[in-house]
Amino acid sequence: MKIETENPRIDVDQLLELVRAELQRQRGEQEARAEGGAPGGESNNPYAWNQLSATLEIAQQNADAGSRVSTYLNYRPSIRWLARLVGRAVLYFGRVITVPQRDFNNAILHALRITLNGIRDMNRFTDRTVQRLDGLERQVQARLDELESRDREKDHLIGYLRSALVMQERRIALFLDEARRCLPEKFDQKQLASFVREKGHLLDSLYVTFEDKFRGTRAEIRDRLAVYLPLLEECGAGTADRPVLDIGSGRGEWLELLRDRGLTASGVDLNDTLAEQCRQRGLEVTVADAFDHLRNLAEGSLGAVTGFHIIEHLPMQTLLELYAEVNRVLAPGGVAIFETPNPQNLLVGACNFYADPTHKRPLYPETQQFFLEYRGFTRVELKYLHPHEEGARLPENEAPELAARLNDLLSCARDYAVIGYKP
Amino acid sequence: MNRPLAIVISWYGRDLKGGAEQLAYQVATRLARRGHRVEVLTTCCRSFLDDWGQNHLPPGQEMEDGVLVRRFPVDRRNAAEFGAANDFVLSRPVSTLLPGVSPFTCGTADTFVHENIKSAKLLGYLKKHARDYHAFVFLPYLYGPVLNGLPLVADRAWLQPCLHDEAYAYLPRVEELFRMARGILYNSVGEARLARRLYGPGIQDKEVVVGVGVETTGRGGEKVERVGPLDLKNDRFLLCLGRRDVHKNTLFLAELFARWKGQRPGSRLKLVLAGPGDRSFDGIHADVLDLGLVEEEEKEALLAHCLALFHPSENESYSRVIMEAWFHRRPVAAHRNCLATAMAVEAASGGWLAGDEEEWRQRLDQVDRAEPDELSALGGKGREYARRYAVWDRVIDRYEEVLGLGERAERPSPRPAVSGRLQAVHQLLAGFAFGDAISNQALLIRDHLRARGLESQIYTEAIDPTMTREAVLFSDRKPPADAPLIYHHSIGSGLMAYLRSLSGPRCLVYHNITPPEFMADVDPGLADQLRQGLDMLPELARIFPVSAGVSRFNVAELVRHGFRDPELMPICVDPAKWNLPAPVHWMYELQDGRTNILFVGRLAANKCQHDLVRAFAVYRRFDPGARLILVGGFDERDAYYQRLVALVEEHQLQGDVLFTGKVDDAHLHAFFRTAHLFWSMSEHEGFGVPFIEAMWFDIPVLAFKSSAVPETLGPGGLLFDRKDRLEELAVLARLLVHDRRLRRKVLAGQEERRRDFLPGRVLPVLDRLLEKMLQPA
Repeated sequence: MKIETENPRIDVDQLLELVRAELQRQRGEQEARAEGGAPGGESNNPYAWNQLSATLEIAQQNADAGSRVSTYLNYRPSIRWLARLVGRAVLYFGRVITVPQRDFNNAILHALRITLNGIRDMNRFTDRTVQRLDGLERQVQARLDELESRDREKDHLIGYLRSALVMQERRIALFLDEARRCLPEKFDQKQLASFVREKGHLLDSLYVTFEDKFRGTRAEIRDRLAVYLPLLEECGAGTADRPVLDIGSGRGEWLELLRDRGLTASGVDLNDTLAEQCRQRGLEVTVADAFDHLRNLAEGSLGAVTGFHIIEHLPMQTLLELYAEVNRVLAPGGVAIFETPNPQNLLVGACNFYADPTHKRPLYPETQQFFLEYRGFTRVELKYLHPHEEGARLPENEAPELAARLNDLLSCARDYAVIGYKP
Repeated sequence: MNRPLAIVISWYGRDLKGGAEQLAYQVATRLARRGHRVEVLTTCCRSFLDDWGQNHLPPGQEMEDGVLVRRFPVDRRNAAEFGAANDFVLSRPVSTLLPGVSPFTCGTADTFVHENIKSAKLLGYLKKHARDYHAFVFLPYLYGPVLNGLPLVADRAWLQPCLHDEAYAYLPRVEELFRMARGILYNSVGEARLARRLYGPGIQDKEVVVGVGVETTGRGGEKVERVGPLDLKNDRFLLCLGRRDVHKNTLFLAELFARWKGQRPGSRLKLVLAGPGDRSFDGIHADVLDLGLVEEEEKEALLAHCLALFHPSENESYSRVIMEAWFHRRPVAAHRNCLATAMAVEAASGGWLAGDEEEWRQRLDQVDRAEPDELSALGGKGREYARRYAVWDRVIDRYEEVLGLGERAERPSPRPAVSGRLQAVHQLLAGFAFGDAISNQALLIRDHLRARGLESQIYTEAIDPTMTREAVLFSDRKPPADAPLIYHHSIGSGLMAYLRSLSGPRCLVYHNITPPEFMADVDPGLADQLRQGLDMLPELARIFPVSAGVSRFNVAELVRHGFRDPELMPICVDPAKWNLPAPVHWMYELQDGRTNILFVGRLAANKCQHDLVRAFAVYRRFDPGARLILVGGFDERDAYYQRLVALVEEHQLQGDVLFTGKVDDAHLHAFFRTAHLFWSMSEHEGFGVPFIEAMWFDIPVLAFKSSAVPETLGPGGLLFDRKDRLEELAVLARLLVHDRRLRRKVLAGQEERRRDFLPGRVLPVLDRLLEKMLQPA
């Protein structure tokens, strides 16, 4: 917009700058207001008031009815004077009625105005009261929200404490058992080793709580994993002779899903606590190192091997070994599925990936594809999953090209899976 | 001059205290000394401080210092009732007073007028001898003889109000005085500005700022070297002179100075207070010296030696000390909020203004750092102003001139500029309606022609029933085809056949035709008429050898259609038409603290009220209480109106957008008086009378740049070039409403521009046109 004037006192460029600065300031204020939820405008209907004023105005204009004679413009000029004369005479004789009527009109109008002013005052009072109540309501709501969020925090903490307690009990039982066995002699090498093994699981319950907080609810995870079911069905995995093995089965959502579908599956996980929880749900989970477990399996004995969010926990060397081992244990036509965060999404690659402190490094999709192929898988493909919700996208109406490019980088798939088949 | 001049005032005498009483004495005796016959009509009551129902002095007439003083006995009055009414009105804080709305209830206003100081004999004398006097000067505005006497001789009465912004000034009778008086004499520019704020621009054409003389002229006090502890020659000091009380802000200045000294320990500046007052300011700071009341000679010496005069009072109608300081070539710092002193300082460029504490602090820094030459230069400018407005001889010159006393005023009556061959000039137009710009222009031209002694009549095809006295229906009677005729063209009409038959001198005035495409959708009938009007132009160019357009924009269009050398004759916008009261209830309703945005113009697609409603919806985000007032005729069945109503509903602005319909001048007056911004999105204006009218009401104009708008606005208002940046536009509008600095600049430009359309500027063009009409082709 350009501002123009011939007025030499005004510097239009400076004025335009002022306008833009003011606009920025106003926008800021509006946002603050919107967040504060302050009400804008008046609550009582000013339209009605204006109508009232206008109606009163009409009444006022007609209050002096019978004091003037019409112009009789519709009459021809030759008889217009006669019409006016007659009109005047009628008005003159009508005075008996019109004079008190005019007094009455004006008195009523005056009374109405006084009444309206009273009502207006009352309206203002009501407005103020409503505004005060609105303010109170907002305060109460804010307090409730705060209490609810504290409640959730406490639930998490209680969950953590509960798991930790179970583990402690188990350790003490173990310890007492060992102690009883060796007393009055010293701990032997075997006893010491069992303590050392247990040491590796000391953080297990912490990790469980962490997962509960950050991973999402069971239902959500189940929903997300359902996308892989067709792949298993296609290659006939999940039967008794082609069972499914889930590496890093965690809380067991996937195993549960497979069981509900009537598919045969088991899991292997290093985490004692999680494995215990899964077993309580009736799922078959072995506490072991995945490699040890795989090495103990016969060649071609599995229909499918899956691993959700585990490969990013492994160093590269181990990963390549894992792929080789998986290829060995799969039956021909069996499928391997590994899901991991997608670093092509800027937010994931730059930030969210590191939310889990046990992650090693982000894995580049094509590299994983190459690794699987290199380890003898065929038809290796990448499946991109979980884009950001529509609401998180930048609006494309102001700078469409820029917004679209940024949306590609920020809102694309958060995870991907690399999928390969044993030839 | 045989008949005397009469000065009417409630109390009169050489030794009376009080500004108005002193003014009356000075003016009366000084005029008498110049040989004019001057009488004072006053009462037998001694002074303002005495009982207004008592006759202290004997009635009758006597000569006092060359002035014939006639005293009339006062009547008994109900002082208790008057006191109650007075207390009631004084209890209203000034901040709650609204122009055009009486602060009195009906009863108390009457009591105030009728139980004021009163003298039936004086009123009777005025009535009986009105014609025996050349003129009457009534002062000041708020006492009985003025309130009740001026209306009796209004046609030769000059009101010298000595106006303050106080509750009495809002009394309806006072407004009536301003409206009916033949002229108004002001003491200062600020006072005139205040009166215009209270009563609107309708009184501006009869106002004169005469000024008030100041006795001292910057001399005296040379011998004084010390005043109290103050060494005049060697001390650097600021002076604050005059009565000290809360309203004068003296304490504010003293405390501010003490704080300022705390931050500037190196400064040698002192603040000297002098003048009467109950409390002493000694002890606030070592460098604040309170001298109390000082001798006249000491005062002169203080004025002569101070660095500057600081005058922080917010409530003055005229400040003598400012003039006195200027006579001594000293600059003055005055309060921004005091209209009278601020206007004087601004007009004279003889100092600085300051409002808040920060600004006053800056002024202190400024004076502390300034070179003596700088201060004297500013003071020198002040002195020029003081010599113009505050030297008695110059002031009395102006009284003589304004009141038509002495030879100087006797100007020869203007010779008719129009050739003697002319007997009658008539006008013809398609429609004649109340409030319509073209009709108003026709009326003005008719009155001007009649004043020249010519016969002049307005003929029209259609007439508004309220205007039948002013014009003749063309179907009833036609102007003779050979008589000189001015034809106003703005739309197609059935007049073509008649126009073809014209044989006398003739002239066409072109008021522009709205492009028909604006109307095609909403009013096809009107669009046809407009098209017809455009189609007529080439033929009219052959019929009319002489023509004029109301703007350069129109002149160009005339040339395009084949007219030869069209003249430019702008539409006349005379604020005198607003010398009428505005309806009280509208003045009350619309001054409720909400922002009023105004546009005046028929509801029509080319005026783009729809764009304005959209822009207003955005504006409301920044100013939620604002209302939009669309003044202009419409028909409820009209498609464009329906569209506007729908738009208003869509933006949920019901009640915040007011469609007033066509209104009379009194109502329009109220809308103009209460508006904060005149906002136009119009895409076609042939001239734009309301833009100029808004300027007269000191409403900033914000307008879309189109058609004749830039030309009409000139240095007034602000233009914008696109309608799609509504947020920026809304912020600009808001700045125009709320940013005082920007507003002042815009209004200054408008003040210049509006004068270009006064009758005095426009009518000479008409005379030129008439001469041209009569020249053989």
